[in-house]
Amino acid sequence: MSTSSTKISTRSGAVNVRAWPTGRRFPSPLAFLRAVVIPMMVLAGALPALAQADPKSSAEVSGQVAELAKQRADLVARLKSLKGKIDSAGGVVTQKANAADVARETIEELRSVVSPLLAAVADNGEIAQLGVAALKNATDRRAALERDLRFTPEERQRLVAAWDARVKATTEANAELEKARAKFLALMYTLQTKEDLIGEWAAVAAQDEVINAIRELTTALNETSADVKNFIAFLEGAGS
Amino acid sequence: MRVLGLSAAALSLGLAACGDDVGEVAVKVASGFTVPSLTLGPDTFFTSESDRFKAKDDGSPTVLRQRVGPVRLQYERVNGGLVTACSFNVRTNRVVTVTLRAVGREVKCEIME
Repeated sequence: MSTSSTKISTRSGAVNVRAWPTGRRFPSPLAFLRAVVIPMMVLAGALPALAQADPKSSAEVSGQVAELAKQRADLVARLKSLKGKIDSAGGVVTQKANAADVARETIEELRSVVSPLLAAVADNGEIAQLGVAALKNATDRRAALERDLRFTPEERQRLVAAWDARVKATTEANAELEKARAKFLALMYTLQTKEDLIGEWAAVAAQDEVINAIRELTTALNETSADVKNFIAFLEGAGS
Repeated sequence: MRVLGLSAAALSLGLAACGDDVGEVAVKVASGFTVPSLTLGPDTFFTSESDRFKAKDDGSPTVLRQRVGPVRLQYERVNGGLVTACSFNVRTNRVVTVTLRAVGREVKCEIME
């Protein structure tokens, strides 16, 4: 009686499969189990390992790792940028979303600029006094020369005539200055008395800035969410 | 020594008074009312710093710069005596608008700060 065996190599080890000798009656169930079923089961256990796909080359793996590192670095940069945008929006809202403060600050800023100008053009202010001083200088000099004995009557007459012309010119210049001063005074006064209205419109404009900041923050959040989602998908697919 | 101390105090008060803390007073006259001469000055027991002026009769305000603090607006009686129309406070960089009206024989102020 002769038997032959075949050796099958698998990843999990070698399996010997013996052939059934010819001219021999069918064996007992135990012998059949030993000779056929067990080797088949061992072979079946080894099949998945045989059917496994080709492993990635080391170059492909390192390329994937590099890509993952790049995407992670990009994501970190975007997340940092988002933090900056959140802080910026918070700053805008803190600073501008208080209408009463915005109106008050605008009014104070306006007052600090307009009030000194109003004081300068006031009816008892510097500019009004400037014209008076200029005219007084001319009239005083003219009067002094009229009785100045250092000069001959002809010289005095010419000097007085010259000062007469200057008194007239100064008076005319003062009249023009007075018109301009009165006009500017009226405007400054109106501006100062409209300060509440100006403050309220400044508060309205500040609220627009708050709305813009909120919208920009919403856009940034949505964009960054998409970036994070893409990164997670890439991460979960890595290595496959 | 005491005289020196008082002089120093007076000097420091004088310098303080020369500061830039000023506001403005705008004096208007209600239509149809001719007011006599007016004076505006600090509302203190003794003062020589009052501005004498005539209110404009075209409806526009007479705007006067005024050092901050309590201020008194007076008008002149026919006999030359001064009568206080009203007192109010002037604040830094602020305008106080005073509209004068005749009520009977008195001059009344409408103050808007």
